Amino acid sequence: MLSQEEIVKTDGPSNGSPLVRMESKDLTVKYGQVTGVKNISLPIYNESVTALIGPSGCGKTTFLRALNRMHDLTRSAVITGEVLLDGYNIYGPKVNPVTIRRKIGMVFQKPTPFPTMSIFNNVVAGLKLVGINNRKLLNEVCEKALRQAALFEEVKDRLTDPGGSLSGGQQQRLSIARALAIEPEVILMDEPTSSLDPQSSSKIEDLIHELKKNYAIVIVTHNMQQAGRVSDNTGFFYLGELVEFGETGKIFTNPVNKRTEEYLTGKFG
Amino acid sequence: MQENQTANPELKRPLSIIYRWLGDRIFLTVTVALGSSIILLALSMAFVLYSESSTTWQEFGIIGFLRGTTWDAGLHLKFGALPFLFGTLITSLVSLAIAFFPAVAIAIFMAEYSPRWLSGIIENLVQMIAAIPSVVIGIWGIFVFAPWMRETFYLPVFTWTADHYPSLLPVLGNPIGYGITTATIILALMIIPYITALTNDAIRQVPKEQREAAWALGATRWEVIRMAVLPYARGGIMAGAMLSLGRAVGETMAVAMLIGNKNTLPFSIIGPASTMPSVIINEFREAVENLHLSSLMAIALSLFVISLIVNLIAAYITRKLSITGGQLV
Repeated sequence: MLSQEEIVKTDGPSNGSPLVRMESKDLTVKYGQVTGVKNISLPIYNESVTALIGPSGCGKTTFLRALNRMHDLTRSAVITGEVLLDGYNIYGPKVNPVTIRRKIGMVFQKPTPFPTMSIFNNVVAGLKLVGINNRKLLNEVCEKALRQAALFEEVKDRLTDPGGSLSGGQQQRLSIARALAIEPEVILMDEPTSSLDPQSSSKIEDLIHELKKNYAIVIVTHNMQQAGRVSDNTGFFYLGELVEFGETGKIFTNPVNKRTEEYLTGKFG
Repeated sequence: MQENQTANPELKRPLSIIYRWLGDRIFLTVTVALGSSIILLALSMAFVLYSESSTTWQEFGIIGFLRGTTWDAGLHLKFGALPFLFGTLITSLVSLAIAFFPAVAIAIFMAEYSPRWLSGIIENLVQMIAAIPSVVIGIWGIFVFAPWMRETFYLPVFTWTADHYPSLLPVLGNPIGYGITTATIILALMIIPYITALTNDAIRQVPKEQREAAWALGATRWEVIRMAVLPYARGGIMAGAMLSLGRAVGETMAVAMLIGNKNTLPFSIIGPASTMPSVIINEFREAVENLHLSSLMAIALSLFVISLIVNLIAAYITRKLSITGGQLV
């Protein structure tokens, strides 16, 4: 366990845009008796990328999934604390988790296109859910989302092919396009490149650079170089606690906490 | 190096040559022998059925026998399988149509909606129903279900039709309680557990990621099922349906006890009829004429082939529709 003094926060956004899009306050996730993450308070700034790093089992994915109420699906999960989206607590008593998930998109570790659906239907799946059936609108959204995900040129002639027919890297960009199509406010990415080859990974990273102009992005990654490349702010998790949070440059070059430094220099992890 | 020296010498002991050399070969021989004996058994069974039924094929020809509508074991010794083909086709397809949606609904409820303790209970119940011997279901049908159907549905419908549309009475058939409708409903009840169990398996094999992807798009519970779960499980569900169809095609005892056993076309809606298994079980004891016995064998061979085809279709569907690792195969 970490003592309270060990948890250090260097504060302040890095990119001059101080708007806090999301914020967790004293967020604790427990699975039955086991604590996943404990007392996490962390801001997520608009139009920037927040990376969550830390060794396996440190709770970064648990924390990420708490940001769009994915833990609702786990019976044993108990969540205390608050997560504010534009100032409103998404765990508030009257909040419908379905609405929350539409505002906070998610991309998973493994590409998750619906394999039997066509590429087109995959992209607009979220829109069809709310009953949008205007073909012209769907076409526009589909093309825009695929372009944003840098996939349009590769699939424009085969939009009716099943989603499962694409390669792994393409499937992941399809998953991103699908998340973008419903125009969320925040995009959560859970190790989005860990199952991809280096070339596809670098495409996804370029994509993250593009997307942060319009979205707040939170990315969990095992790859510290990736965190360094894509993120503006970095949070270091260890044993279910947020050890250090701050501007990525500062954390990587001059971490305040000893454990952060040890992790970043490869002494453990 | 040091570790090697302190290692237990037992661990370094070479296996005896006999054990390694012979073990592999014995294992190979046994598995090959057992595996091929299954194939031989099936082939020899088909061969026996064919040779025993050869008189019929010579007498009526394959097409002639399958299209023949007369089954007369008494005076004329004329045999045609069409009534039984028809009866089998109707009872099995209709029972599948009746059973499919309720069975899939039960499976969805078990896998997606019910609390764990309840789905455990349902699962056990379903397995119990599947384990009831069909003769038990048959005798329950004879003494409870068929009379109940007669009193509750057949007689009122019959009287009503007699009053309003007497010309339709031949289409409706005799309301004796034992007939094609009763047998089909019982058959549907009997295959529900199979479809349920196989659908449940298929649904539970849908990866968590697929569900989460749908949740993350803001899907509600039913939308997750419709969007992610059912499409992914479709191969398993369809294969389950086909395998259950195979069971319905071959189901003998309960059907023979309830269908009323009428060997001539046309069949009516609630009146008696026959299927391929039911005519075999009803007549094999009395088949003294060579041609009669041979014709029953011919029906058995046709049933064998039909079951084989249904199972092959099931296997094909499974391969064609199943999804592995997010990739369409």
